[in-house]
Amino acid sequence: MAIKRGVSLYSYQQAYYTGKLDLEGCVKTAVETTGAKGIELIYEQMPIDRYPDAIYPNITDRGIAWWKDLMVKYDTVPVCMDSFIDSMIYKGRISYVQEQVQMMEQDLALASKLGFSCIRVLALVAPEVLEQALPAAEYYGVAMGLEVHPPHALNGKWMLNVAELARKHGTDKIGLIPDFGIFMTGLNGAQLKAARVTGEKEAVLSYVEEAVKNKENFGKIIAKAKEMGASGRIIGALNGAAMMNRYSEPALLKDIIDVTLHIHGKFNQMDENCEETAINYKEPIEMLKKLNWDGYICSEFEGQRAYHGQDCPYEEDEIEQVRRHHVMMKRYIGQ
Amino acid sequence: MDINMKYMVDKSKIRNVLSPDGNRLGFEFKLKIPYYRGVALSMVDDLFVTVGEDHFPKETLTFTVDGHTYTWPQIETVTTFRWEYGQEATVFVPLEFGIFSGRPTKVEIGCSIRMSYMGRKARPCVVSHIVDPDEMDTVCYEGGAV
Repeated sequence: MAIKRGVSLYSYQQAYYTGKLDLEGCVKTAVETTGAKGIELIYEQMPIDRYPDAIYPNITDRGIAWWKDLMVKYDTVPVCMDSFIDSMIYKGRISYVQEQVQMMEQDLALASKLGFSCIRVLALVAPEVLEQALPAAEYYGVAMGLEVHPPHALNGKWMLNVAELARKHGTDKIGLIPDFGIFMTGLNGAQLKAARVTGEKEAVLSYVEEAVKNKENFGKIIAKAKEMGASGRIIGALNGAAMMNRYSEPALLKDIIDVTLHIHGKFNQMDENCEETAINYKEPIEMLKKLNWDGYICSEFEGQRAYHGQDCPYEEDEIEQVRRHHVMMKRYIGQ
Repeated sequence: MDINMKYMVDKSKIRNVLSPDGNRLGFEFKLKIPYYRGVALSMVDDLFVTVGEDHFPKETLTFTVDGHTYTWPQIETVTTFRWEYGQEATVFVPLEFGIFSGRPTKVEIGCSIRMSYMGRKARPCVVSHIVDPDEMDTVCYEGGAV
């Protein structure tokens, strides 16, 4: 029993978008640069079939066979497929619960065809949608995991309710997918780097980085940063952190470990020593080991987007970032 | 932190549009989604273009993807066809005479996607490019503009 490593292809979203890697290229890159076994896919980001053959949520038998062959070719395992439930698909109204249940059933069916054992459900999907889709999840043999994503906390009521829902039904087809973003201890390292490469003053950078790590009051940090002449990038990063950063104690994992289906290894910036600059990985992984949890942690690199402003010439190397993330995971998991 | 902002519009693909008889109908550009996945076409919440003093709201534009051309509000009904992640859509802008000012012209393009659970009002990703008419390619619309 050991924690297993995987890669969410979301990590390579920029390479895919700009045409440098296709879906097979992403899988190949993940395997060759990290040695990971698990693959997580946002189907709506990298669809196997597209117009005119079959449009999501539909897929052809040929597309299914191609994906299965791909998994065999690279000796990988489909771990998790990310689901969205577009409740605002129609302009001017929010979809009814029953419509959202239908969308969930479509994703469960697609995930089942592709061999995924679970789907990631966005944090804000209502519990009644999960509950009403449970028969379909049981039918397809695919679990629905609600993402524990900031600003939610591991012990937030919304998340504990879902844990209770799973226990009440005695099912393993409802659960949680904690995202490492809940173990964030400082400012997003990619946002700091983007500010640096676009000319932010070093004094501002070191002040805000330290002040946030020291848990100083965000209002005061923002006021001081403005006084120091910080750029809009830094103020934006501080505002974002003030709203989103909710550090959960790793020990809280034990309260939900029975319903933890899978984990998102969210990260923004790996340094040269293969450490995440502002997310605690060491203690949560130690806790997971202590609890004998043996699911997958899939790397989910999100730092690339910090450099997507039109004024930013820098582009992050997603492949290298994911490689470093796995060096770190191996170190902490003990492989 | 606008996702894929700098890749959303490829400046080199902004082209003037001519009709077969040489009339200058406007210009077009290729647009990639400012999001991290593809969406149903009904979820393209807003699109607008500003060229100098001229503002073009979505109702004046056409949006072409996978060989189908849509207008607003027609596209809002399209929930089964999609604009895939990284896929280029073609947007036609009926700017009289196209971009022929003889000097560099600022083109501003905004697009928003109605993401679920990100609040009721989608915030547009807005990019701007300075286009030099002397360096622009042209394209001929055989059937004229839609």
